[in-house]
Amino acid sequence: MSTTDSVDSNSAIKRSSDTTSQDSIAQNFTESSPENGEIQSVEDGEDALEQLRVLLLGNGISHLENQMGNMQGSLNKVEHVLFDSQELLDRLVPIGVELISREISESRDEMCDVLAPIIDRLIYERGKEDLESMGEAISLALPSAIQAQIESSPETLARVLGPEISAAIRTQMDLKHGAIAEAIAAEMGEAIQRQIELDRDVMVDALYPIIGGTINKYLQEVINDINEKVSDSLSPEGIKRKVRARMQGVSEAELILRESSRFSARAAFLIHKESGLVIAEAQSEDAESLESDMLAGMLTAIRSFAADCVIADDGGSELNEIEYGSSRILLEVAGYCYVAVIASGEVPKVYLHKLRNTFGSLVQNYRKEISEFEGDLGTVPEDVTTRLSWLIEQGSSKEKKNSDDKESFPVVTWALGGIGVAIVGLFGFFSYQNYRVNQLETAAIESVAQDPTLGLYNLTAALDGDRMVMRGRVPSDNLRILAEHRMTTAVGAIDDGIAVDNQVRAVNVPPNPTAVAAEVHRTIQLFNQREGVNLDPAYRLRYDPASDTTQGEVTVNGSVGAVPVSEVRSALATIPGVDQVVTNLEPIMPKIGTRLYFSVGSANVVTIDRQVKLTPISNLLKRSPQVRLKIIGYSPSDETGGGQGLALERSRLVRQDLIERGIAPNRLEAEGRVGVPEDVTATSPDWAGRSVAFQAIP
Amino acid sequence: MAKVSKKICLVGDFGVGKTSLIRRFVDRQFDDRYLSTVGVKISRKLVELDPSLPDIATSEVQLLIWDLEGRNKFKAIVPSYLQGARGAILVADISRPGTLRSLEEHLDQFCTINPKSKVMVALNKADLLNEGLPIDTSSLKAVDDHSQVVKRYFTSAKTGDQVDDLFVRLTYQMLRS
Repeated sequence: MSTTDSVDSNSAIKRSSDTTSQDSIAQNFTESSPENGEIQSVEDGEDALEQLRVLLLGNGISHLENQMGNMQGSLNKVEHVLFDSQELLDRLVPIGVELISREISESRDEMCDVLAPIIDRLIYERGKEDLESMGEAISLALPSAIQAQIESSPETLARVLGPEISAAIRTQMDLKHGAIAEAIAAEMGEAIQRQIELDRDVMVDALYPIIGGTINKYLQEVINDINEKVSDSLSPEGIKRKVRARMQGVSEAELILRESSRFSARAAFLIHKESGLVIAEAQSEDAESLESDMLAGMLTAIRSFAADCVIADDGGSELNEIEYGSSRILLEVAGYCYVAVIASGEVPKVYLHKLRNTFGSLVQNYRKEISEFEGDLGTVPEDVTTRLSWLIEQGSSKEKKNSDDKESFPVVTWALGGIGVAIVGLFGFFSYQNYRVNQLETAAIESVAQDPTLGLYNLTAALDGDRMVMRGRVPSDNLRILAEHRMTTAVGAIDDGIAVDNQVRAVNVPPNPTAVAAEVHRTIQLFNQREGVNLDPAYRLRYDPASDTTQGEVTVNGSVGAVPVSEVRSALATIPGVDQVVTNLEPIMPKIGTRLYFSVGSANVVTIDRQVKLTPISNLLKRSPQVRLKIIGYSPSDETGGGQGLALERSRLVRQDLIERGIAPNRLEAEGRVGVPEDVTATSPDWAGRSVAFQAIP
Repeated sequence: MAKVSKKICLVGDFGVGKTSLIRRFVDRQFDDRYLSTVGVKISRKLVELDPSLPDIATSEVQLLIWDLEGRNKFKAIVPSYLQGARGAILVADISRPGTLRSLEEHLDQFCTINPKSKVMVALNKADLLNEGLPIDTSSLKAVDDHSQVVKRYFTSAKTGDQVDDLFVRLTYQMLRS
C-alpha cells in the first residue's frame, strides 16, 4: 500500500515541476533573440540549415527538446525533495519501518553494533520523558530478570540489595504498620527455637534483663502490697491482723505474706495409693477442671519414684508437698490411699489441720471401702466426696474468713471486747493529746508565718514532749532570734509550760549582687559627704578557692580624709553580701592655714588668737581623733632676741594651750625653726615671719 | 452407672514396642521412630464393653495404661510402678530372642507384686514374620504355663494386627477376675 501511495505523490510533483521548466525555457529563448537579429546573413544561413534539418529529421528535434525540458523539470523536483528535509522525512517515514525490519532480519549483528552504543542513552532519555510508560514497559521483564539474576549469581544480587534491605523494611513499617510483624510472626517461634539450639547461652543472656525485670516487677507488687499492709498497721484491719497473728502463733510478717499470696484450694483428690486410681474428687468451680485420672496416675508415679529412688533409706518418709511456682500440691498419705490438694498461695496452718483431720476421719470411717477399691467409683460412699468438697470450700478465699471467725468466736469476742474498751479509752486520751498538739503547733507556726520578715522562710514547729522544736533556715541571726521570740510568745499564750527549742539555723543566703552594689554605693556616698573624703567603691563577686565559695569583695580607692580607714571598712563589712573589703586609700590630712603671730622676741599667744584661731583647731582635733598636729614655731634669723629657743617656746606654748583644751599630748608635736615659713618672702611684712604654723599629720 | 477404672502396665525390655502398642491402641497411630520412654507415661482409654454378656456388670471401663520405661542392663523397673495394676501386658520383640527370654523374669516380678492380676503376652513386631523371620518360642513355655497368663498374641503395632484384641481381651479378663 505504502509503495503505491508514494508512487502517486511522485507523479504529482513531477507534473507541477513540468510547467515551471517550460516557462524557464521560453524565457531563455526570448532573452537570446536580440543577439540573433544582429547578423542577418548568418540567420539566413541558419534558416537554410534549419530547413535542411527539418528535411532530414522532420519535427523529431523539437520533440527531443521538449523531452529534455521535461527531464530538467524532473531533476529540479528531485533536488527539491532532497534538500527540503521535511519533504524527505515525509517520504522516508512510511518505508522506514520496513527498512529497519529488513535490516534486522538480514544483518542482525550489524544492527546490534549500530544501536548498542546508544541504547542506554535511549532508555535514559525516554525514561526522563515518560517515566510511567517506561516503567510499564520494563515491568513485564523485571520479575524474570531478577529470577535469572538469582539463578545465575545470587551473591551479586545479595550484595546489591543487602545494604538497602533494612531501609526497605523500615519504609514498609512506616507505610503499613504491622505488615512486617505479621510476615515475620509466623517464623518467630521457629527462629527463637533454632537460636536456642545453636547457642543457648546467648539467648539466656538476651532474655535475662526481661525475665529479671518481670520477676522484679512481680516482687515489687508484692512488696507494695506488704508495704500498704504495714503502713495501715494502726488501722482496724492492722489491729485485727496483729490479734490474729497472736492467736495463730505466727509472726505478723508471715500473716502479711500469706495475705499477699492468698491461699486457695483448687482441687482435692482421694487417690488409691498403689494403683493411682481416683477414689473421690472435688474441684473448685472457679478454676478449669483438671484431668483427675491422669493427674492421680502421674502423682502416684512421682510418689513411687520418690519413695523408691530418693527417700528409700528412710522407710517412713513420704512426699508431703510438690511446689511449682506459686502453686503447690499438698499430699497427706495413709495406709491405702492418699489425699492430694492442689492449691495456690501460702498454706495457712489452720487449713493443714483441717486437711489432716478430714483425711484422718475419712480413712478411719471408710478403711474397708478404700482398701478394697478396685476402680469402681460405685463402691465409694458419697460422704467421701462430700468431705473433699468441704475441703475445697474451706480453701477458697471467700469462705475462709467466715469459718475462721466462727471457730475462734468466743476467744476472739472476748479479746476484741477487751481491746475495744481499751481502744475507746486510749482513743479519748489520744484525741485530746492530738487536739492539744495540733493547737500548739498551729499557733507556733502561725506566729512566724504571719510576721512579714519571717513569713518568707519555711519554719516548722513540732511538739516533742514539753518542747516546741522549731526548725528551718533564715538568712541571719537576728531573724533567728526574732523567730524564737515570736514563737515563744505564741506558745506561751496557750501553755507556758512549753519551752521553745530553737533549732533554726542562720545560713548565708547569697544576696542579690545588684542590691549589694547599691548598698555599698549608698554607704560610700555617706562618707563622701564628709570633708576631705572622696571614695570610689567597686563591688564584684569573686571565687575564693580557699573556702570554695563566691565572695563579695568591695575595693575602695580614693582619699579617706580625716575619716579613719577602719570606719570605712567596718561600715562596708556590715553590708550583707560583702565578705571582704580591700582599701587602697591615701589619708589626706586637712590643711590648716591658720597662723599665730607674735611680737618681736615674745612667745606669748595673743588672747584674741586663743579664742578665734586655737578654738577651731582644737575642735578639728576633737572631731578627727586620728589626726595629729605638728605645731611649728618660727623665729626669723634677723629677729632681735630670737633664735631656736624662742621658736620652740612659741610652739610649746601653743601645744600647752591645746593640751589644756583636752587634746591628748601625744597627738601634738612641737617644733622650733630659725627662719620663716616657706610662703613668707622678702616682700612680706616682717611680722609674718614671727609665727606658729600648723600641719595635720596622720 | 458409676465409672470403673483399671490400671494396667506394659512391661518388657527396652525397644520392644510397648509405647508403640499403646499409641496404636489409644491414638490409632504408629510411628517407627524410636523414642525411649523415661520413667513412666500414663495414657487413658475408654473401652466399651458388650452389655449382653451376662458376667459383665458395666458397659465401659476406663483403662489407665502405665507405659513403663523399658528395662535395660543398667536399670531395673521401679517395682512400685507395678503396684495396684489389675492387668499387665508383657511385651517382647520377636526379632530379638533376648527380649523373649526375659519375659519370664518380668512375669515373676509383676506376679509377685500383683498375685491376682491377669497377664497378656504380646510378641510384638509380628509384621516381620511375613518377611520370613524364624521364631523360636521354646523359651516361652514357662510363661505360657503360668496361671496368671491369659493368652499369648502375635501383635504388630505397625499394622495394628491383634492390638485391640490384646487390650480388650485383657479388659474383660480383669473384670471377670
